[in-house]
Amino acid sequence: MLEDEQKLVKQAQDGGVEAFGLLYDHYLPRIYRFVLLKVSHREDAEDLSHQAFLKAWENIEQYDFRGYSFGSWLYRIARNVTIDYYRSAKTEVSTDNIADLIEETVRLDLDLKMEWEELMTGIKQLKEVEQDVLIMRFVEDLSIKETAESIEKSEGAVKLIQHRAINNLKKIVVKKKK
Amino acid sequence: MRETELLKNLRSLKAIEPSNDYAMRSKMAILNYPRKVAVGLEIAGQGVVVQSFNLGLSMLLTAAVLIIILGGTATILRSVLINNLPGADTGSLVSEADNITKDIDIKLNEAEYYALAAKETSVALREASLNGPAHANPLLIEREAESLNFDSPTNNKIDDLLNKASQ
Repeated sequence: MLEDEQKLVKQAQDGGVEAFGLLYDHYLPRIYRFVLLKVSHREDAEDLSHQAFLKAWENIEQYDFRGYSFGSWLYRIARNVTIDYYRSAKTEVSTDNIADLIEETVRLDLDLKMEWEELMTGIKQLKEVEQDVLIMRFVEDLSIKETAESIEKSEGAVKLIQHRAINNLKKIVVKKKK
Repeated sequence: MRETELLKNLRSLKAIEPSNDYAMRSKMAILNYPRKVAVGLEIAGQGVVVQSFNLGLSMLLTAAVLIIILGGTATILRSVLINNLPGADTGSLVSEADNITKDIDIKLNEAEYYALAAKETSVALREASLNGPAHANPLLIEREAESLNFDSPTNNKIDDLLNKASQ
């Protein structure tokens, strides 16, 4: 969580552009990563991340700290934007371009590149909610509570989904290695 | 593959980051986007308009409440309730109300009588204090005493009357 986050959010709610800019700088890499791991397409991930932050800026007055953290609120928006993307564009889940995506996203040695390819392909084969929980819990280090707030489920449900997601991902990766 | 290794690999995905060029362009586009929310109120007076509106609204509501109370809403509601209560005996309620009105009238008449009596008493007392009581006037007592013959206890008029009666 960003230092003085609630103060920045309040300033942004009062129209503070600079405050929202700081929130954007802090959360963009996380939201972008979350979206990219779900859509596996760099340009789409950029568009969807942009849309998520635009919605957040437009509706920031509706955010209320008493409900959940600002980060959870952003992840919730990003999640909804991604769901809408799949619904409206009728986009098929594709794993073809993951290798290219890794190539253009980050410089890695060959072994790690292969590990990433397996992982990202495996994540894509999980259920939507299992993807969300895995990314939020183990890539973004969100707490159980924050994850529950983001996916609008109970903490118990998150623990259960997490357990299933890890098992399913293990099975997929092991199967692929064979 | 062990779970720890899988989680370690998942954590390594944190290295994914957006390009600086995209981040800058997107940020500029968002921050230059005019927000729809309550722009008029913010520009108009940094909350003064909102505060004035709140004050005006609260005053209006207070006035409305006072009007409702003073305007006899209770009476209206009572009449409505009485008319709509299935078990209410309208005839007995009306006669009870009449009795209460009569009682009030009687008590008002009594109060009026006592007020008049008090007034007359006060006038009499004032006169007495100024002139003294007429029956205690020494001139009057003397005149009356003259008409009475204390030396001869017989009264001729009484004798005449008794004689007439016996005839």
